[in-house]
Amino acid sequence: MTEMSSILETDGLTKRFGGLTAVDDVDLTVESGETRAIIGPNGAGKSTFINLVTGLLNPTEGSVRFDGDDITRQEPHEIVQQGVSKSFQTASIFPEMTVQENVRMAALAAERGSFRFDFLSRRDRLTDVADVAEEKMRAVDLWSDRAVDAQNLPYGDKRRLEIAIALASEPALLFMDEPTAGMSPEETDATVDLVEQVQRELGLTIVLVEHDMEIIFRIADRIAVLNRGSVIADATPDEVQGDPDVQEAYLGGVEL
Amino acid sequence: MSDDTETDGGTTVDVTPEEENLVDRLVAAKDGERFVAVAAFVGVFAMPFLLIDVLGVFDTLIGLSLGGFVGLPTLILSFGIVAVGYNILLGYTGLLSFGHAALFGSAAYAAGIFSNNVVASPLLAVVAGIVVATLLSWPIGFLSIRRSGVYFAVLTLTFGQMLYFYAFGPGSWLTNGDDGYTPFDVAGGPDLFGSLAMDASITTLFRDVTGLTLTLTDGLDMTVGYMLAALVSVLAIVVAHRIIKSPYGLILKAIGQNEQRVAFVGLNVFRYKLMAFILSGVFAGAGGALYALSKAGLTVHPNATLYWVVSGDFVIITAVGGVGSLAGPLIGAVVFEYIRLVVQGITVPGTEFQIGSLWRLLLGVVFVVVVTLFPDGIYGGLSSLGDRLVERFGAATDDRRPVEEVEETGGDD
Amino acid sequence: MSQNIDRRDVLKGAGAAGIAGLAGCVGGESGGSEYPALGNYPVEGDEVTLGFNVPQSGAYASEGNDELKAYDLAVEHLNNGGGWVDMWDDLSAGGILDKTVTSVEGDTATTPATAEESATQMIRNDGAIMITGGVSSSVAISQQKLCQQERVQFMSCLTHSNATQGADCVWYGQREMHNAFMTGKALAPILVDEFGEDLNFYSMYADYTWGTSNRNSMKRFLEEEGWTQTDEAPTPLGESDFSPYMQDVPREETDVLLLIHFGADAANSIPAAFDAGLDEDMEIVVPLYDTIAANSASEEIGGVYGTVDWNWQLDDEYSNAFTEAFREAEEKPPSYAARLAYSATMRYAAAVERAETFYPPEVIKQLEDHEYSNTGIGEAVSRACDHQSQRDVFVVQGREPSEQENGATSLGHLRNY
Repeated sequence: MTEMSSILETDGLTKRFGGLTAVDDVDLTVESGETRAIIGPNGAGKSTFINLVTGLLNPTEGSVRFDGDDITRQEPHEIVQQGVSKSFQTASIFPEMTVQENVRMAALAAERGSFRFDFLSRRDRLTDVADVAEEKMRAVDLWSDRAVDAQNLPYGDKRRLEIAIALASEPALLFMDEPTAGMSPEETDATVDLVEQVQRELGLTIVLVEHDMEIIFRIADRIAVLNRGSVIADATPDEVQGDPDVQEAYLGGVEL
Repeated sequence: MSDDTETDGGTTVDVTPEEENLVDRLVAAKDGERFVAVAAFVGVFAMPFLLIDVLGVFDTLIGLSLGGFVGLPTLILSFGIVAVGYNILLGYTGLLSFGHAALFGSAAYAAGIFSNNVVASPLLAVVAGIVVATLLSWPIGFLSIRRSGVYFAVLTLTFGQMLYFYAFGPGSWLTNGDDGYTPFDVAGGPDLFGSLAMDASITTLFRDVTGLTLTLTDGLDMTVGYMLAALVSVLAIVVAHRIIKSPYGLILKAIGQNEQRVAFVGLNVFRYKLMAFILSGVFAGAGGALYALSKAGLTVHPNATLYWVVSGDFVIITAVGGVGSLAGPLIGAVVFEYIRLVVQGITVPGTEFQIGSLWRLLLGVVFVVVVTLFPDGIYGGLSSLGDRLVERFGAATDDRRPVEEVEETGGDD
Repeated sequence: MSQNIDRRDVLKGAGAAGIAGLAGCVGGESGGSEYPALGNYPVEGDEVTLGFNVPQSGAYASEGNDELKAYDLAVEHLNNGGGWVDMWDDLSAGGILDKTVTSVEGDTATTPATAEESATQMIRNDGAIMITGGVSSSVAISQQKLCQQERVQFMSCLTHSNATQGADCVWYGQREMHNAFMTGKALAPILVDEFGEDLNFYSMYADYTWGTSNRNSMKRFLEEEGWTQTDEAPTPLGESDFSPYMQDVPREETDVLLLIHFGADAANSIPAAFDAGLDEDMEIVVPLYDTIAANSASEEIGGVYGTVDWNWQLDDEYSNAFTEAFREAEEKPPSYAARLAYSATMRYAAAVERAETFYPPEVIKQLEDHEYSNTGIGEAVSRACDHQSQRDVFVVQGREPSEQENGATSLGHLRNY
């Protein structure tokens, strides 16, 4: 097995909520630099899985290793500082701050760590933070809107801002939770192009949760299929496409 | 890239230079630290003149006693400083504390007790007050911040009331309980540096030095005590401005808007919240100590300092003045103390009716009206009025509003 | 308007006596033939302003309200005649020294700090030449400290604690009401006579200067008479639920329960004592009776002893004149808080007339070693050493509900020393 280059590894990851087992004994690996997809019908446990890895929830059993370190019980902000970032399904932005301020927030944390006593130092002197933020804003083509309040952006732009924020954390591993949900075909294409480009340029590892199979097939290297909390298939797109279990799980569901 | 921007920490307006005019430059300078310091300085020294002399004119002209009394500006500053710090907690971080009376009151008592038992130095007493309030804000904040929203408010309220009851009962060996504590209980009143009496006014000092008599109006003839309070206030405002312009200003604001996201960019939200609480405690400490100074030889009482209603007063002051702005809380303090102490004594002309204890009702009406019409408080209202004037008279043709927070990207690009 | 005079000016001009807050009121400031500006003296124009600083909120608001009504009545009489103005030689209608009397009110909120602020406002802004009012002794003490600092006279209204003219005495203050010491001295022998020798008593008292003052005085005089204290319990001022404290009273050992409460406290604690059935096991005594509280506890008040400054049923010409005038205006008889207010104003006005000036040191001199018997409490002397009126204390006993058209009755009175 290629454990040496696995950037993320879960081992028997399980989450029970009372009588309900949302994530059931999931063993998953993600290789450095690949684009990994996680798919499955609604309620399969995809979001719970991500929340377990990113620290929002503590697992009932099992562990998560990132780049060799055990991050199972770490706080979300610590995990982000380790290099794991997430773009939210619904754009989780700072509505009454400008685009620039939104992105700078993430850059601040990436450049300066999770906490500092710098309440008397002037933030307009932080050129490193400003540079990173500018770079990410340009990457998602929001630089010209940098003075606009985030809540005034059209929905598609908010999603792009969301991605810019996630990128500004300069992660090694990026979770993207349905990044194209609610987007028009043009926007979807643009977003996918962006993801590919970013991965190429930054050497980012991406774990993608998506319903849109076209996208998955376009960019995913490997796909894990979840159903009712368990992994029912974990292979390349072609192999998954022909898997009878997967077809059954998706009967009447997502288009293939 | 906008290369034609200033690099002294000022703000920029996204226009080309030929189109700027004085109005635009004023807007741009508004956020600069020097401007804030000067404006604060002018404000605290103009306030007594406005409140006592200008409004006092109405008393002589039409018998309507609108003027403030000497001593009112000091009280306004004491509460105003607390509110400025409280705003960092409420307006930015979004934490509604109902326990700041605990920090304010303990600083007042600490300064008083220090003055009577260690040394009656006003400056050191202010330091003592700040130290005690800051130390106290750490455990209170630590325990309360673990919960959010309503629970946080209730926890702070509880801690505040614990201190209140302690001061009244078991702690009365220290605080004198319901009889109140007399700070700076020294013959002749406290003085600075051993020779400058706190209640010496400009005219008396002038007379001491030159032997001549200077005539000043009541409002301009400030005491040493007020000038000390004024200087502390200016310092407090500048520090608050610094904090707002630091990474904390952005981070705390972000916490107030989307706490979860802040964690998910990798910041330790709990520690930042706790720092916001402690920082607000520093300001509460300064305000409390100044309050004790203003009560030299008189009384510091739990009902006026530690009681939960005082905590509520800070909320009202901040909300009426303008949550989330620097100057707002100070405006709120002026309005609040004016209604509490001056309006209370107004007799409706032509009748025997004195407003008296109806002041709280009046305050409530003002509060409802302000909060309904101006969600951003009085300052917010003035600010949007200002924005509209700038649009009208400023030369900027950019159709985005001149944004205060767009910072330059560094000087050496 | 007000002068901006600080302490050092006054010290230089008039000698070092009378400094704020020091015990002992001996000495004072020299008058001289020309009176210099002092506090709010001289009074310009044809009006003179009096400041009425009473509790309009808090535990003593009802008493404060009564005081205010009496103050307004006094102003009315001083300006237009009536009441004691027609009966005192020193006074006549048309104001004080031919200046019309106006007034300004303040709310002490039963809190010293607030009282100081409202008093400051009245002195500095409204030019009040005299401040009066109050129920709580803490408030009285803090107000008179402020008045001392501002060089403005303070006429205490209702204040019962020893400290007001004791440790916290100031030269600018005056008190006509009796104090805790006098209450103890007057009441103790009567209680022993009525209830017996060698008894045990329990002291429940409001936890501030007044409460502790009374607790101490009652204890001293009862112990002198041979009684023993079993225990004591402080209660917070403004407490509304006294039942837990009543539970703690040791029924077996206690023969007499002292309820050292006033105002709203008394209105709550007296019924609580009866609800707990304590009246069946012991006698209940309220050392300082509050007429308003007594009226609201009217069911239970039968047989309860206490002292008062005055009772409207006293048959004395000044007493009657005041009661009539008050009743006409307010349609109910006055409490002694009201009489104290009225009396303070009248005594001040008369002193000013005798001194022929508003200059405080001269007015204060008129009130020192001044014998008088025209305020409805019989003969009294306003002492020079501590500005306390030496006068009778009235001991009263509550009437049974069936006899209560007129509230508490007077049992008799003792000369006090």
